[in-house]
Amino acid sequence: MQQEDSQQTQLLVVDDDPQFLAAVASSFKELSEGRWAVRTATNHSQALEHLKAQPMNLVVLDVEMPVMDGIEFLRLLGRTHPGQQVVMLSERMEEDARKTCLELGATLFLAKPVSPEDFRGLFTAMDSLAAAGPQSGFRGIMQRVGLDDVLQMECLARKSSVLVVTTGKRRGEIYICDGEIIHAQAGQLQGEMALYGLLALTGGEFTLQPFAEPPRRTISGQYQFLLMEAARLRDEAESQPARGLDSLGRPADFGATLFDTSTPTEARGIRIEEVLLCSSAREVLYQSQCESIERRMELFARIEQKAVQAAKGTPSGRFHRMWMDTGNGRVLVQIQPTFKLLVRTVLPAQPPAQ
Amino acid sequence: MRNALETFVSSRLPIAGLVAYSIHLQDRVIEVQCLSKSFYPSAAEDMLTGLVHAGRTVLPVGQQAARYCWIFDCIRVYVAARADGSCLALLVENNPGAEMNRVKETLEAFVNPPEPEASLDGQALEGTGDAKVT
Repeated sequence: MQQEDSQQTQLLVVDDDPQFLAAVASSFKELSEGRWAVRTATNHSQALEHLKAQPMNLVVLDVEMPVMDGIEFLRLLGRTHPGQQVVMLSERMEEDARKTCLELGATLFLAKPVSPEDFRGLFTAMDSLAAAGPQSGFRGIMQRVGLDDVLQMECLARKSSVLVVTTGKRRGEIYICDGEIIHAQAGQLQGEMALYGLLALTGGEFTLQPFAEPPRRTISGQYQFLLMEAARLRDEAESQPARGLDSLGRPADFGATLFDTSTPTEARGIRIEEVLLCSSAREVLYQSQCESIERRMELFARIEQKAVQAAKGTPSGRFHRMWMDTGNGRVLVQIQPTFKLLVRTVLPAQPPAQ
Repeated sequence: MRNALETFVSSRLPIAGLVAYSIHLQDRVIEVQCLSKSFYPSAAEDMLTGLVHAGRTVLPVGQQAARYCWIFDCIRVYVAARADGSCLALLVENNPGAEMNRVKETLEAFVNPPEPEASLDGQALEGTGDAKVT
């Protein structure tokens, strides 16, 4: 029997409701087809006795319990059993409780199951969790940490992971492969636009998940450059959201970068006068109000040639783009290995001084 | 005015991330400094001069006041050009530690000098255009 136990997934469920405990034990034993050994406790003292007698793969705690509630017990477990995987269940699903539990180290915060379907869903989630096992490494809380800090750590360590960012109902992912940022997506956006949009967020939550190949790779270039660009865009957005010199190069001017897409370029009074997108083979892929494609092609060639020439013999790296602001209009010229892009915008007239 | 321009950036140093800078009048460089060992001084000067001139060739005819930026993998070059033809070029590292706010302040102060600097050697800096550095 002991031999059999050691091969089973050890689960401890702590809840003050005996009926719920009976339902969980019965349901999980059936769903696991005997792979799980389910133990139950109606208070923290019993739970600690179980933990003392037998290490548990998973501990499930009810948030709403008398005397010592689930959150208090979770805090205690953090001290007495660091690294223990804990899943919190709650009837009320309050945001504050969820946040506190995750900060205290809970792996999941889930709704308490009431129907057979709910029990199956909970079992599936916990079965995956138990199969993955506890992750090695340190676990802790970093406060006031920026996404760029996390990305920098991942890239410096040449790791591969997916940084999942959530804020409210929005969600985005940044894919890191061998220390390089290779893809980002957020809502409808992909590539650098999505990356800058995510890095411009001022708050939210993130999780680092194991690397999975993205649907496609949309970002290339050094991570330092990308993070620097994101920092610049963020600074500029903070200092002058409406107009400004550097914002010519700001992707927000050429499509919504931030999650807040409620204010399109046109609504801010910035008018796009001209767009030309062509392939590296000078094939026009898209153009709008471009008076002379030939002259624009010459401009692409001149800018690229001048930039390459000027950077010759320096550690500047590859040329990406240039922008120019003449006070009432802006031009962005982007030179990429696979395409060239020109966007010319006109700024709204300044209101007369009061 | 030339003296004032020559000390314009040096009086604002140090600026983290600033690799080199140059100040140009219409047809010549009056001040250039390389502040980092990552660039050869001559290479930094050639790069700044080349990009300032290249930017001028992109400007619409008759336009002098402008701000432009050349962005590379590891560095970027900001140029603030005034209507009188003088330019300030700053070569800045693409490094999150670079003090971008101070870079921007310096460019802004060059284009739109604050009051005490508006009179240099008894001359007002004029014709700075409507350029505004942000």
